[in-house]
Amino acid sequence: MSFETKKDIYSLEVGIAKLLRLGVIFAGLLMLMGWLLQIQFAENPFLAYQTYQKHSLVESLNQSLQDNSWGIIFSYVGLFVLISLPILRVFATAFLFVKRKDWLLAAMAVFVLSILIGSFFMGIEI
Amino acid sequence: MYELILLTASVAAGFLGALLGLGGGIIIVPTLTLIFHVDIRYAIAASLISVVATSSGAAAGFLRDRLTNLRLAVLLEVGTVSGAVVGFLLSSLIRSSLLFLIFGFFLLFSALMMLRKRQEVAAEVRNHPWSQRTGLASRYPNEKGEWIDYSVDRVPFGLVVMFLAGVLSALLGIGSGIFKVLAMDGAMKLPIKVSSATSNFMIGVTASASAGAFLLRGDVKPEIAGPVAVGIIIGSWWGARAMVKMPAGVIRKIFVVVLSIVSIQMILKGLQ
Repeated sequence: MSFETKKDIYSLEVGIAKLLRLGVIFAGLLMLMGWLLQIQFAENPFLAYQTYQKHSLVESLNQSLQDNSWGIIFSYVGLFVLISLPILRVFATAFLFVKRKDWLLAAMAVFVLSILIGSFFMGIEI
Repeated sequence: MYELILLTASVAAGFLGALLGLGGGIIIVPTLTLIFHVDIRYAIAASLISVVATSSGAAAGFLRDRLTNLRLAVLLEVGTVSGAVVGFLLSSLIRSSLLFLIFGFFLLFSALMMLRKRQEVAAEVRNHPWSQRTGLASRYPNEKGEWIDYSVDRVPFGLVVMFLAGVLSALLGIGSGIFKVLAMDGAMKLPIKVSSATSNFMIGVTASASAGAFLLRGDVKPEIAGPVAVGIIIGSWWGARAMVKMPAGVIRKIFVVVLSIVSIQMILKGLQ
């Protein structure tokens, strides 16, 4: 591999990592906004969660949309952004390996990516 | 009021986590369950979110310092994400009290591991055939800027440990960084800086493998995950900056004491 290609690949790696950091800040700001919009200083918000109760995400989102609870909605958007970051990173890594013509590692990265995406759907009850 | 206390605790978790190379999960879960009496399942789900945040935020620094072994990370992630899927599926079958017990013993184990002396890397480390096949051996820059070559041994064993680390990650809401560093540093004979950097890179992927499933199942509650994630992000940024000046030895000893106390409390709660 030429020196230029190595340098390009290294710059791509660092670029991806910097994008991750920006992504974390963006997700963090969304969650901060969401949290501030729903904060109630008087009550203990954790009382409701002392016992586990099954309550799907879809139900929570529908409820929030009906109640116009923008705090909750912003928080969930922030959460989705945050969780997507490692997936984006693995996707970019697979792309890097393809660029290096490293087929075995690229295949492994694609395998990891499919598990990550597939794992999301495990949470949905059929 | 309660949220502010949780925010402060999360900042502390992120700070200590950055200082000691952890994702913060082993502080967040006991804090949420023992102090705020949140059900352990909600605590685990919120904690996984914070691990994703810590890992994604810190990746840039380690990559820039040329410490992260990307190829090794991807290979080992095959093990961790598979384990995380199994862990998530197991989590609904295991009683909460057993989760407390497992967590407590894991904390005790972590405390013991913190006390262990770091072994110097042997001069001649075998490069395992799997490592040769996939080109895992690499080099890293030391403090003087000199490039040091290293090999990778015991790749199959490392994969098995990573699978177990993945299972624990999903079950307990942690990044399992301790297991990863142990496997890479202890078994696979990697330099400690490379192990830590590569582990930090991996914990985010491991955590997101189950975090997504927990989120869609509805177990991630914004009222909990919000202050936790924000606090961890602030704390780990602060901790990474402070790391250079802090006497890590003293912090480590304090942490061992705190971990031991918390582990006993978690075990007791599990036995109730």
